[in-house]
Amino acid sequence: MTINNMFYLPSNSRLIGLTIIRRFCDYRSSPMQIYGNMMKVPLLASKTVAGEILRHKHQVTYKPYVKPYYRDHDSKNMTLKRPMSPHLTIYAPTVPAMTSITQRITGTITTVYALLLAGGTLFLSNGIESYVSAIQSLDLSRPSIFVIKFILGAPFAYHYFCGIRYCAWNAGKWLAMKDVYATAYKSVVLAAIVALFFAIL
Amino acid sequence: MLSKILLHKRIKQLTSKICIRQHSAKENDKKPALPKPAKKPIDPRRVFKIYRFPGILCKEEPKLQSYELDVSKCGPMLLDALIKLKDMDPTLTFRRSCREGICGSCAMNLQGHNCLACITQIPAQKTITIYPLPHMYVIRDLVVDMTHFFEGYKSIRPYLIRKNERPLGQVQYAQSLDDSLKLVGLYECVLCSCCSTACPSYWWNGRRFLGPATLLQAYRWIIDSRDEDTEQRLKDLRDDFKAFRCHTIMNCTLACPKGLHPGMFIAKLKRLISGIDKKPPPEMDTLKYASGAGLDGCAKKC
Repeated sequence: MTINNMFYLPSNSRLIGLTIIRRFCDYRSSPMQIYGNMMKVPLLASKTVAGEILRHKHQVTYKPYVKPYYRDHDSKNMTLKRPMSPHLTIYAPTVPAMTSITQRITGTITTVYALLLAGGTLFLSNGIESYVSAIQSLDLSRPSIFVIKFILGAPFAYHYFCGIRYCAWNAGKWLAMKDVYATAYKSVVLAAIVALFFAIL
Repeated sequence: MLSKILLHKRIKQLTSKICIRQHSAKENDKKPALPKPAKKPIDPRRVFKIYRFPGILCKEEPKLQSYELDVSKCGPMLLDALIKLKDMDPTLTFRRSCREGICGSCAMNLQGHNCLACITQIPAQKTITIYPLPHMYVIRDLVVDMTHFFEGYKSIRPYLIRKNERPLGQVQYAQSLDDSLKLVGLYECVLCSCCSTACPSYWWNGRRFLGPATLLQAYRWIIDSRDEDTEQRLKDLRDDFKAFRCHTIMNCTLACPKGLHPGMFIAKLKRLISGIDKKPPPEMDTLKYASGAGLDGCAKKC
């Protein structure tokens, strides 16, 4: 429902108009370029003399209420060339925000692992075992294998334990701020332990 | 007298359930504090680094301008310092109104965290960095365009909706004590947008995602026992963007200058939208005192 056809309603219908707006909250009106008082609106009540519109200096004119044309926020501001205030570069990192973004990053890493494994078994002609034996033939030292296995296993371990926090939040548990912090620290510790376990295996 | 005691007890019981945000688990330490070594008192002459943008008509890039201010010569709050700086440099522009943390005008980013300048003390650091609210279009200096924030707020219909609308002021809608205490932690929101502009999800999806402030208010109207349009309100939020762009990042609760917990209530809201939880029916009849006399009836008795 637009308010295009409500421009010239008598005042007692304004209540109906208001309730309709209230129900639908639609702000679209005709696309007139509005920049405040730069736009000239033809006056309703004015004296015309020989075709010219004369306006007495103190004449009160009544114009119907024209809702300001609601432009899309981004297009309006970008046309005005307003800068965007800084966000990532200035906002202080917080424990909940950092755990959340690492959850997302480790999620993509584990997805890549899964896709590589799946794609490898499907498309590699030699099979994954050949690549495993190729890595074994590199003959890396024990400590470096330990480190590599830790680095490869840590994303999965972290994502697993942080994921438990997300499941709890969906269930409505551990939502208090102190619980958020406590579970964040606990999941990091547990993830480190499990990643160490992966590395030792 | 007895009812007052019961009321007090009930409020205590319910407010202990409400999560007051705490910055870290360290604040919960019950151990007696060890004697700390005496800290050197910080020099009151501070450096304020403030984001400046003179407006679109000046063809200048935004930059950080440094001011030196002796904070012992002004009030303890950040707003006092900003007003003193405006005395020195009248072109410094910022929004402010109530100076008591109830209007929400002076929201800005201080040392990387969003806050209300009028109720935030000047931090005990040498350099104080002030930016406008993150990821908002800057009109001038610390003043940002909040239009889409308020449009989103209006879109959730933040008013009471009854099935049989009566003219306003005719009738009072009754609500039990427990039902009204459900609104504690929800109605205090001043719509400063500290939480919404702290949310990375709102940064990236601000046009379609409603943001923590609006979702908190949506929850406030949904769980109000006097409101009867719950089904439609929940249906309106049932898409991929309006509420479910929230990924429980929890930056909102840390940023809230009034100590509210949008994160928790949005999690509860998501449970209501998805149908896992149901809104309980009102504990008492909403129209119990709706004799229809209204204000005219009161005036006649006096």
